[in-house]
Amino acid sequence: MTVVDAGSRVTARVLARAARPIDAAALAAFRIAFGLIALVGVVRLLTSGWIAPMYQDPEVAFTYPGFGWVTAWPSWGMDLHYAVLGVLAALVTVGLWSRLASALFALGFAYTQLIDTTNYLNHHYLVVLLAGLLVVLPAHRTWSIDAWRAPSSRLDVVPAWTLWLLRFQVGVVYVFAGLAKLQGDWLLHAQPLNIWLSARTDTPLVGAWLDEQWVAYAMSWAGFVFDTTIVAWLLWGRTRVIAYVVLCGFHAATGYFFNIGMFPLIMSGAALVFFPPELPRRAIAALALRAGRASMPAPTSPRGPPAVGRALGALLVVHVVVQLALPLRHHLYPGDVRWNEDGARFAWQVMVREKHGSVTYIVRFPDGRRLQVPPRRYLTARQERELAGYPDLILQLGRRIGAEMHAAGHADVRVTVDARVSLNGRPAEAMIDPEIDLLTVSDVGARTWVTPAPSTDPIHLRARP
Amino acid sequence: MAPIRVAAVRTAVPAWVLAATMVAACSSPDGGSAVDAPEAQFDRAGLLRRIAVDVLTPGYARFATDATALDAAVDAHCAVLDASGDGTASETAARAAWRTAIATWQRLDAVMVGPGAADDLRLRNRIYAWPLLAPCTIDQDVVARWSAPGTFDVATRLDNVRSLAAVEYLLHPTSAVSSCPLSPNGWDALGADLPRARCGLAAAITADVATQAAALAEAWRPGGGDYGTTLATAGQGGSSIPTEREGLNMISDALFYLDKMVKDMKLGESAGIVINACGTVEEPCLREVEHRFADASTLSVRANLAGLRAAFTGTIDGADGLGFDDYLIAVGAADLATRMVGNLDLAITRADALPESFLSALASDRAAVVALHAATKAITDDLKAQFLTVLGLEIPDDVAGDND
Repeated sequence: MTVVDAGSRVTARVLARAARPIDAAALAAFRIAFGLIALVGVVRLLTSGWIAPMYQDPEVAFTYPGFGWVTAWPSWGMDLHYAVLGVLAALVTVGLWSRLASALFALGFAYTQLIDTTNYLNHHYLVVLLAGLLVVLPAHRTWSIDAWRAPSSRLDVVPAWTLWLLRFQVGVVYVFAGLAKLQGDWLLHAQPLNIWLSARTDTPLVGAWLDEQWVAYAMSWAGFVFDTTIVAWLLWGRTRVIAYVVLCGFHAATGYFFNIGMFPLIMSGAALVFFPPELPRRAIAALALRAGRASMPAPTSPRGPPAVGRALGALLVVHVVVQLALPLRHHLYPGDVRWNEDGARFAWQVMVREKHGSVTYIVRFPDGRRLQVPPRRYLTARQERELAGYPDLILQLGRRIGAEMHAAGHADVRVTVDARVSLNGRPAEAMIDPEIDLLTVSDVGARTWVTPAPSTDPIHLRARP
Repeated sequence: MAPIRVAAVRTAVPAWVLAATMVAACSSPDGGSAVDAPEAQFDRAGLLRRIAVDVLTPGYARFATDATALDAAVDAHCAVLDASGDGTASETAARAAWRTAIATWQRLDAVMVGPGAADDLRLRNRIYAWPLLAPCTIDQDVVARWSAPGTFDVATRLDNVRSLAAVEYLLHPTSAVSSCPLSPNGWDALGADLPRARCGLAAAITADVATQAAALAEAWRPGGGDYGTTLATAGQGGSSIPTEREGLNMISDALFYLDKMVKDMKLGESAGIVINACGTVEEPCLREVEHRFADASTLSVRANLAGLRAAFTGTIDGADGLGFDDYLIAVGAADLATRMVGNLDLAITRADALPESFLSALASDRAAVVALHAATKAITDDLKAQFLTVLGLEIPDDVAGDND
């Protein structure tokens, strides 16, 4: 048997397993859970008072390359937009026009993220991805109003790859979030957890220990081990339940200590995809039995699971490749991703650094005169905080300042920046070459205009007895 | 039983492997940290107490006294004018009272927390609203009050036509010409009564300032509102501030006054260092000068820096107490503490070196203003970067959104 033959046999076996029918309840349960969590998230945003600070207050929006045309609705429009997203999330939950609702939700939520780069959050990106997957997965054909209205479309079984895809998507988040912690600050210096935990000594019961070095080290290593291995533990049937309990505890703790919004809920809900696909149906049957009602019938599909078309198959392969490539792309760029942020977005660099900085633009006139421009003139406090961490945002605002100067008749000015940034408690250092003219810099390719990351160790905070 | 035991063990072992992994992770050594033990006992509640009770509470009481004295001095000046007397001496006394009051206020304004900062600085702006100031509208109010003193009510006016900023404008007229492009109705008719009319409005405003100052002092007074204790006991039962950290963050937020108000507005925009309303580059912009009528900006900046130093270091009249510098030292950031206090002292030295007349400094010694600006920037660079990071504090007004 040649290697090619062996490879072909393995491929055939994998494809056969991927096509193997599994209980469609897993996808349906995921759809319902996702819809509910998305609905909660949207209602939370609508009631938090954050919409105006995020979309209306900023006079300047930072854009993604190619998406400069995306702008916010007027004030009432953003409220309405989020209200519509809530309705769409509800439709996804109950499975009414589910695919269309998922598609519109994915697009609508992506729109809210594209308005201003400073709104980027890893878990918001995950929400867009999961909503997008619901468009292509047959999650709407079970336990949905769609299936009830059109019984012929109902599916009790789906091919195994559909669940694999969800597991892959969730697994990618954990694994790459774990790999992002594979660096000295996190593992050897317990930063930034030492900083964050030291600020939480007001926490009831455990607060007194939170500024202890050993606690920061323990939690840093636990976080690293958790992120990098939890998928394996969840996949292994014998450890799945305890792994899920640990997972819930982990997310509850991070949700309590850190201001990470819906992330814990999303991940705790999404991780349920690692359980056997028939579990939701069994759970409901058990509940029905306890309630004295007839149990839910076992899946008996009138038809086999739907086949994957070539186009969809190709699309999914591309998706998988992109999901693996995006988090790794920063390795192609020189420098430390936590410093230059080159390839940091869409890469699950979750909570791996603490950055604060002071940014001042300097407009330099040909005759040697200089004029400082504080970012505050353009940005909200929230935007200014983000600005200090991201060189690409600093570049964008610098270009805007330059354009305004040009429009005011100062065609020959240069715009430089004094960006002093503290990474994980180190003394602040210049993040961008203070002599470089931002108007001549392109953000395509390696960010050579960003200085090398600090080579010193991060701070070690002492416990405060 | 044996097969059951084997099955149970088989099921349990992988679970224990996972648990053991987590436990092992939790018991990892600390990696030989550079700093193992605290160098000093640090009392965060003590820091809050020092700033709230020892620095700010007496400051508000002192300001209430100064505001009352100012009101009395302005009343006295108006009485002299009403009696057709020579108002030169009484005007000088009123101006001196204003300078005393504004100097005290500027120390407090530099660390504005609590009742003065509440409701988007409502009380602060009622007492001193700069940069909100509308000279033309004040001139209109001069006429309005003179015409109908019984119905004129300072309480109904906007912040930009009352407060110590308006009093400054009224006590330091440069001419009988209105600040409006066209004189307000009734302005020209005031004629020789213009000084009395101006003084009358000033008296109405100083009375309002004195009332607000008394209310603010009462809000801080032990036995009164006792906000000093509320702040000092943040995180303890009885305080409306839920955590010590929140209390510290409130003060940290207040310290950012140095960045926006002192560095950028008072110094930078005035001297053409920072982009300004005049469009000047490296040339003064007089309409951005804080106390351009009294030419008291040097006094103001010195008072701001003194107030900031007292809050940052806990030092009162030369007596050192717990401050943020001690906090930084206690957590292992002694270099940062030393650098920030050094830069603060450098800024104070450079402010002391400025001419008493800020306007003349802008005209003939701009380099001194530039040097002072650079010194304040050195402080705020640390304040916005490593200071916040090390102490785990947040930037001011950062209310929206989550992280991850």
